[in-house]
This record gives sequence, C-alpha cells and structure tokens, in this order.
Amino acid sequence: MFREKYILDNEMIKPDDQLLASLKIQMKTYAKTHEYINDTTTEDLNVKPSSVNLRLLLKYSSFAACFLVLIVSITYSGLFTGSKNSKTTQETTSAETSANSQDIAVEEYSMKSSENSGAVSDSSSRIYKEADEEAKVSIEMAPSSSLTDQKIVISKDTVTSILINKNTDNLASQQAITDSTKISDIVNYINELVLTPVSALPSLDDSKQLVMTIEYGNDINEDVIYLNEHFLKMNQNEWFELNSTDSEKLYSLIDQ
Amino acid sequence: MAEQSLCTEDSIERTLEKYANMVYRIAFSRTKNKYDADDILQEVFMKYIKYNLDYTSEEHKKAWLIKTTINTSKTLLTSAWFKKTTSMPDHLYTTMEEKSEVYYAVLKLPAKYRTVIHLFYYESLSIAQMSSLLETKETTIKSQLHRARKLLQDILKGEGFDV
Repeated sequence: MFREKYILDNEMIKPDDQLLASLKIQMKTYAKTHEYINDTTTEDLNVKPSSVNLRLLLKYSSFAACFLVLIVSITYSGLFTGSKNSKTTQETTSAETSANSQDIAVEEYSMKSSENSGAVSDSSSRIYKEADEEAKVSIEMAPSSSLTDQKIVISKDTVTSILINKNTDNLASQQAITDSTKISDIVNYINELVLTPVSALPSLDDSKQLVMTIEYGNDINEDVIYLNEHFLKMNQNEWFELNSTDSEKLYSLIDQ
Repeated sequence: MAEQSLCTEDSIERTLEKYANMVYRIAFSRTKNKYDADDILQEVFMKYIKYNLDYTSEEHKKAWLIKTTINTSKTLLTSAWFKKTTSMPDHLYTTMEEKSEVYYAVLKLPAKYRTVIHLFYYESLSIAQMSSLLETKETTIKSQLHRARKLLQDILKGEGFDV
C-alpha cells in the first residue's frame, strides 16, 4: 500500500522539458567537441609546414619574454620598496607570508583537483573511488569524534541517537537509544574507557558482536563502534582491548 | 575512435530518456528543492558524458548514475554555501506537500533515511545492493530502514498506510 502510493507520488516529480532539452544540447556539444579532438591524429600533429613552426616559435618566445619582464619588474619594485621602509617591509612580509600560505593552499587544492581529474579513467571503480573521496573530504570537515592516544572522544552534545545492533540467540535485534540521559551516560563512559592496543587479535565470534552506530545532529556524520566481548573497534581503526570491568559496565549501560 | 564518439552521441538521448527521471527523483528526495535537483541532474549527466565510461551492463550504468547522484548531492548538502543559505519552498515542494501525504511524510525524514526509503521502495534495490552503493554495512542499512519505517508509521499514524 505504502510502496504503491510512494511510486505513484514519485511520478509527479519530473525535470522540466526545457531543462532536459538544454542538457541534451550541452551533452551533444561536449560529445562533438570530444570527437573533433579525437579526429586530430598523431600524424597530423607531427607533420606541420615550416612556416607554422616559425610562427609558433615567435608567438611563444614573445610570450616568454613578456613574462620574464613582468617577473623582473615585480622583483625590482619589491626590493625597492623594502629598502625604503623597513617597517613597511615587516608588515608586508607578514602579509606575504599569509599570501604565500594561501598560495600554497590554492596550489595544494589545484594539485588535488588535477589529481582528481587525472584519476578519471575508463575504470568505473576509480570514478567511484574519486566520488567517494570527494564525499569523505566533505564529511571530514565537521568531525564530531576522534580516536587519539588510545582515547575515544565523542562530543555528547552533538549525539542525537545511538543505534544498537546485536545478536541474541542467533536472532538479530535492533534498538534505538534516543533518551538524552542514557546517551549521555553511554558517551561519557566511552570517553572514559582505557583502551589497550591488541598485539595479537584472537579470532572473534561475529555472532557475539554488538554494533553501536552513533548518530549526530548534522544528518550525515556517524560513527560505528564494534564491541565484541572484551574487544572494541571504532570505525575502520584497529581493535583495542578493554578490561573486563569496563566491558561489563558498557554492556550493562547499553542493556539498561 | 570515431565509432566510440558516435556511440556516445547516439546513447545520449536514450540514457537521458531512461535515467533522467531516476536521477532527478533521487536528487529531489535528498535536497527537497527543485532548483538543487536541477543542478544535480545537470552535473551528474555532464560527468556521465565527460567520463564516457565503458559500462559492462545497463545495471552497471544505473548503479554508477545512482552513486554519482548521491555523492553529488552529498557534496552540495555539506558545502559551506548550502549550510549558510536557506532555500525557499519551491512550487514542486509545495505541490508535493499539498497533493501527496505519503511523499511529504518521506520528505520529513532525515536525508539518509529518505535515501534508503527511496532506493528500497522506488528503485526496488536490495539491502545488499544499497550497502554496496552507499558503502555502508548491511546492518546499518537495515537499522536505517527500520528506523525510517518507524518514523513514517508515526507520521502517517491513522492514515491506513502499511509501511
């Protein structure tokens, strides 16, 4: 009943014909340009009349000369201003430093962009990977938790709910904790946990694994904590060992 | 080379005809805004033509388009510009609000629940397919579906819809 009505309602949602027509033109134009570029064979590129080569040489050498003159004049004016007023130089140095750091940031960004665009290949998996990384970067912009120095730090104010998935008598069960006091108790306890790195991880029984999904108010981020008896793992990090008191207390807080 | 380009041009109309609605509906269900959905539709299909991938099957192409739509909308939803602006309800949103109680109930859910509901009920994807597309564990997808259904039941209480 719900499915039928939902499908029916979705039929009302359609892109405008005008938008589709314009998109079709854009895509066809792109395809045509692409075809045009591909039509230029390697042979055509290599065989050029000598007059064309000469013209190209003159064109690029004049560009290079202009560029050099520009750089020299900028450097010279910078030095001249610097010797005139040392105080101004100090101020400009700090301004330059921030400008440089911005440049570096821009450069890094452009490098990343070029890397991303470079990653575009015929393999669809690479495209998936790129799109995922893009999404991951945006998610990392607003961290709500961290795992450093063997301590988990979760900001309890941002947690909206905790989803618990566990197996009891071979039956998967789900539970959602939305009570703020209970969330606070669990998050506080997780933040206090003493985590010990595991040198040799024993084979863990999946049926005993409890999965806690910590959801934040920003609608996109979430952390997943895996609890398997005395062992704990957060997201894709390594497993840590808990002492028996801590793990028992954590299980009891969840089961309350 | 020419053959490949011809194929691309030929397939443009067919692909748009077949998948434009699908992409647009996923984009709208995530952004709840007609204009953002318009932008996402254009961006996704421009990526499609730009990358010009060699899809192994129609299913592969569909999966790529769904995944790219989700990722593109995710990028938009997490962008600083989007966070700092409030979009006005557009005519499509108000139409859905007035004419469709079921769809409007789904729009009231958080984005991640809207996505699993849409993929499950409209695109009829299995939990395993959604898990692979959204790169999320199957158990998480199951619990998200469970919670989404529960929230929908609360919203549609007394309306007689079996979620």
